Amino acid sequence: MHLSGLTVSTGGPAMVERDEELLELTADFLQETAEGLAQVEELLSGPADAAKVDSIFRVFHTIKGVAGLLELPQLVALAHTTETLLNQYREGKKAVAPDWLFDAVAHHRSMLKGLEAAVAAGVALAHHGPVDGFIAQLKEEIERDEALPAKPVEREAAPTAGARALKETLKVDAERIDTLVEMMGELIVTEAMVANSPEVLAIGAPRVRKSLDQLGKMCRYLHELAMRLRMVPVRGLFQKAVRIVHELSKQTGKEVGLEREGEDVELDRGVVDRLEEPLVHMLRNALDHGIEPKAEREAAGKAGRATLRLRALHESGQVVIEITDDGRGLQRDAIVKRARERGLISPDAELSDAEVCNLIFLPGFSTAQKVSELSGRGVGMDVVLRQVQAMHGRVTLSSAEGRGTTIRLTLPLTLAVINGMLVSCAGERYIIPSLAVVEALRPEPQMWATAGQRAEVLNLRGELLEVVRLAPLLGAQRREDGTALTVVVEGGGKKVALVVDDVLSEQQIVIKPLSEGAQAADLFSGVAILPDGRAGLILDIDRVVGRSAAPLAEARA
Amino acid sequence: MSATATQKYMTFRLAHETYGLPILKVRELIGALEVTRVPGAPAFVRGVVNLRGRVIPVTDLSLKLGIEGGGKSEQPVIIVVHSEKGPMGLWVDEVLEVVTFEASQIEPPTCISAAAFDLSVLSGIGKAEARLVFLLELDRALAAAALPQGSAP
Repeated sequence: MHLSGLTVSTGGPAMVERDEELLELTADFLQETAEGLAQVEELLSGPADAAKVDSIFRVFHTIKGVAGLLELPQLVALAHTTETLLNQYREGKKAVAPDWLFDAVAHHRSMLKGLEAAVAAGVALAHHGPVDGFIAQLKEEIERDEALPAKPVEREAAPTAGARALKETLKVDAERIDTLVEMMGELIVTEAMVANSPEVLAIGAPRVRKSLDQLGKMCRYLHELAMRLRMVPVRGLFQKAVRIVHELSKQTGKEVGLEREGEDVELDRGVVDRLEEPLVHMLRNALDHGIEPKAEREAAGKAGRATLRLRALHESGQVVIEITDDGRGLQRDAIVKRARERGLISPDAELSDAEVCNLIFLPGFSTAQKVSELSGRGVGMDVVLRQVQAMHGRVTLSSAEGRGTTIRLTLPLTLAVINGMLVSCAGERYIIPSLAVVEALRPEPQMWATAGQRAEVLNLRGELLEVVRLAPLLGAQRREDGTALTVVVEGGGKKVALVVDDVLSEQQIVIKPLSEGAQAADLFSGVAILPDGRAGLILDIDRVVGRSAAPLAEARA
Repeated sequence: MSATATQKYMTFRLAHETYGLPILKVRELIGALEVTRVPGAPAFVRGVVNLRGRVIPVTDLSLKLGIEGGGKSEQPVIIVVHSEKGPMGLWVDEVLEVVTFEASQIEPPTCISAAAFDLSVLSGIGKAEARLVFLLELDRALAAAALPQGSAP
């Protein structure tokens, strides 16, 4: 039976059963092989010893076995040939050449992709032309004699230090977990609604109060636990970086070593998935713009081999992912010149360092002299910014000319929950994501100043900030009694003083998408359920800062 | 709309006029208390409301249909309907009764001047004992551009 049989269901009950079995087997195979290949890449990222070659060999051996079972002859041939080459490495007939293995992994991946698509479409797996070519090349490499020092690869008796203890895991349908997380989210909202209702607040009996407290605690604990079910380590993402850097350094001819740190840091699966594209753009940017050619590096007294550092860490309830290169850094003059040419800034504008950094996040901006295969088309960093902002995260960039650039992504642990500051404004309540809040204060009268009776400035310990009043921006009445609270927020690299009526609380907020029909209002990034059960809008601070100059045309009754 | 069978309609009031929606399109009724205004949204969007953990938009049907004097009731009701775009709340002035119309009781809306009212949002006119009920095509009514107030029949 060929794969085309997978979806045929006309062969009677026995046939159907077999098809379902095969489908399940194929799904498992796809997942396990993807994991195996990722493992191979990780093993290849360091120096190869005998134990590693053995582990890599086992991965391809398994692929060969299962592919045979699933009747995928071309994949069997590919795995088999790779295995033969690995065997030569094991026997010490050849020195390990990681490039061959990286390529083999890539070809396995493209076949798996084809298989996935074929299964989804219910057709047989098509023959992959390029794979045949690669198998032929591999065979040539196998035939080639290599004069090698007689000693085979050294074997170690003990397992390598890098081996991780295997934890027991359970495969669960992602949909079930999502439903569970959603229900738990609703449970904490309902719990808060009950606990905060005036009737329940009026109950004074200590026994009831204590039980209610306990109930609330349990709900929050359960919710947290449910959230953690969706968390995965960033290891998989970092492994992809290994592959991308390997590819890019081949394409650019620049020698680059990738250091990884904090691979065990966990993030929501949804966040990790959506980081893939930004990661590619950032790595491309680093390799193409940041890191200089070897000759230039050596002339500047740097090591010829560049170092990229990928780091994940926890920081006050958020996760930070950092990419640091030791390249030439942002070239301030080139960026400003380019921005002037493109009319993005006025010819005589004086920009701060932070403003210069922000220019590279504009759509269509690139200082690359020529469009290369890698970058320079002006898409890239704006994609990074957009993707991260869509997840309620933040991008910051720092650079030292001649010494390198660091891009820092600050991300929420999950897509569903953020920390937010609940503020009131003209009788309504809005949420400011805590990530955007610098500080909240009640300014002294002498800190305020106006120009032309309208443009307000706040003097915050010597730092002059533009003042944005939230009420007129939202088409509401402005409160004039001077007791207003000011929240200093940062968006799009600019700090402004946002005037609200009061800060009510700071809490974890479950985000819901703003439904169609209400999304015309682009000052908001989403909506949340407040503790009393009402819907509350989440302010998109980047837009608030950007829109400060143009308030809504009219107030609604 | 099929003209052969009997069908049940939820009838409601917008200003002083009576409208109806097929009961199958209606999901539930909720009190119009806790709507959160969405600044910057079109005027006919009353805001959003939390429907058991799901946040849905609420449309002021009077404003949407250009019915002057509507949406000012002291006891408004939100009718949650199944629209093409998912659940949506309709802000109406008062919910009346559920009426069953035989096919013979429904007239095509040919007696209405197209200059005075957008006919595409009507599927017909139901003749109840005491009054006429203008039967709405839900998704077309929601898709229609908001009419300026005062152009109602």
